[in-house]
Amino acid sequence: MPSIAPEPEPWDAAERRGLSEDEVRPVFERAVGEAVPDLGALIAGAAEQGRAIRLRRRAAVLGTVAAVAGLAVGAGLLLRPAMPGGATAAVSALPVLPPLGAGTAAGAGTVGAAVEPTPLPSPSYPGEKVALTGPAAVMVLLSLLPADLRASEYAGQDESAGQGESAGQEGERSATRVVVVARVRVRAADGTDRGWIEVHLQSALAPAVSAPADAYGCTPRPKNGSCTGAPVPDGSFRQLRTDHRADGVSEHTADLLRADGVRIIATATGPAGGGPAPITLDRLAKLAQSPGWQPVIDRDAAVAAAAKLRPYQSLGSATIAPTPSRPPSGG
Amino acid sequence: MVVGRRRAAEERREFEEFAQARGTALFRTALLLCGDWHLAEDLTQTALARIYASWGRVKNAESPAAYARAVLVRCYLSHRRLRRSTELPVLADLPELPAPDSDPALRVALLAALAQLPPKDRAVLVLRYWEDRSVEQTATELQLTPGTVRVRTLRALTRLRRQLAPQLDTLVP
Repeated sequence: MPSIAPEPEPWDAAERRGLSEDEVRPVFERAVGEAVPDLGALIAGAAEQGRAIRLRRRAAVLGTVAAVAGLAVGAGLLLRPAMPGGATAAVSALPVLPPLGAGTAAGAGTVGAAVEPTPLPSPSYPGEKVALTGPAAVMVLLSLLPADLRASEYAGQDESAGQGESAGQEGERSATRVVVVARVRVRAADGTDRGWIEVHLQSALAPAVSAPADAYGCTPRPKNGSCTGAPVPDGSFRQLRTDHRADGVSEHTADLLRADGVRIIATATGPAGGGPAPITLDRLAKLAQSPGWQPVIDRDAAVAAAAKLRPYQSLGSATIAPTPSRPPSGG
Repeated sequence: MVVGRRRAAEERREFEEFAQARGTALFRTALLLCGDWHLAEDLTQTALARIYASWGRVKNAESPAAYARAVLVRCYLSHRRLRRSTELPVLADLPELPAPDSDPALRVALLAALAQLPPKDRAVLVLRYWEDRSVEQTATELQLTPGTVRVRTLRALTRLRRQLAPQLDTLVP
């Protein structure tokens, strides 16, 4: 009986051929060893983000301190009749803080005013409400694009943290937070690449206290561009920024911290290789200020968005037709 | 108040020096980890932002570079853990800024092969063979046991060889 030699698998040949452990490093080196990012822009962006993280941490610490102080005062008042005189005097010397959420009251002091909490969405989202999803955010973004642009590749990510869960790292912990990113590549009608438009939405941020005025004050100013930051009459803080990067790409950013604690950061970036941002800064500001950006949405809207967008496929108008699809799963 | 401002300015200067020195290396590691130029920039920026936010701790660390790398890998793994509703095609943006002497074909082939690996396997390979970390150091940074790192390394390397088999002759002269 003739024996049939098994067909060698391609990777058997590869194993025999090599790519030993010693050869992996040179292959990596040849692949990315000369890749150079726009380091100046990265560092400037990182410093700004890092500063915002610090401010959030400080606000969180302030909130915790005030909450503990409030509890201490409350407990002290309850125990007051039973305490000896010295202890009573000590408790009486503490500042009187208003209940959280009660706003500034007479004698409340700056701490009480500073920690007036932002209304947070309920962790369980009662009824038919859910946290904003990536696909739903992409759909909102699409609905706000100018008519002369069409979208192709897209990305949408969502991350929401329930009560006590960590929404990130390095101390970014909050009671309930929604973090969503939606990004689409935009093209002109003739298919020319016009760059990217991206929106980050974060909810349950620190309340509008003195820190945002500082954070939205355009410090540092862009070396090659412009920046204006100011409070908006509706109670929001807004910063509009334009950067002309060294690689010839122009980028607009509209950073809005709304009075309800929701932060919208919209970015319009020109195409790789250089070019203007796909939309004007004014248009981007209007996009960021759209009431369509909400951290909690109807469940039906989330399901419908998930059905309309299909992963790994382009976003030309022809592909947005509703198709049966499972909602995105975790992982 | 003035002292506080001066200290903040000093911290900013120290951070910028560190980021200038380490930023490109972090970006290349990020590029190998995620395979997407834009995402690699985002991950690098996020990692640098977290480093800046904790600069006092970072600069006093035994090895600020190792600390930065650990933050970057955590950013990458955390990013991968997010509920990803959709993803860009892995190679959609590559390579937008081909640098002189780079090997775009190899980059595309390698990143496509790496993209087939699970995130932790990819992180193991990158730390072991790009960052030259030992099994024990890799285990510590990824919070795995050394045995798990060895198994993942073997598995990832085998899969990488399989993925790269068709191009192996040109990849490894």
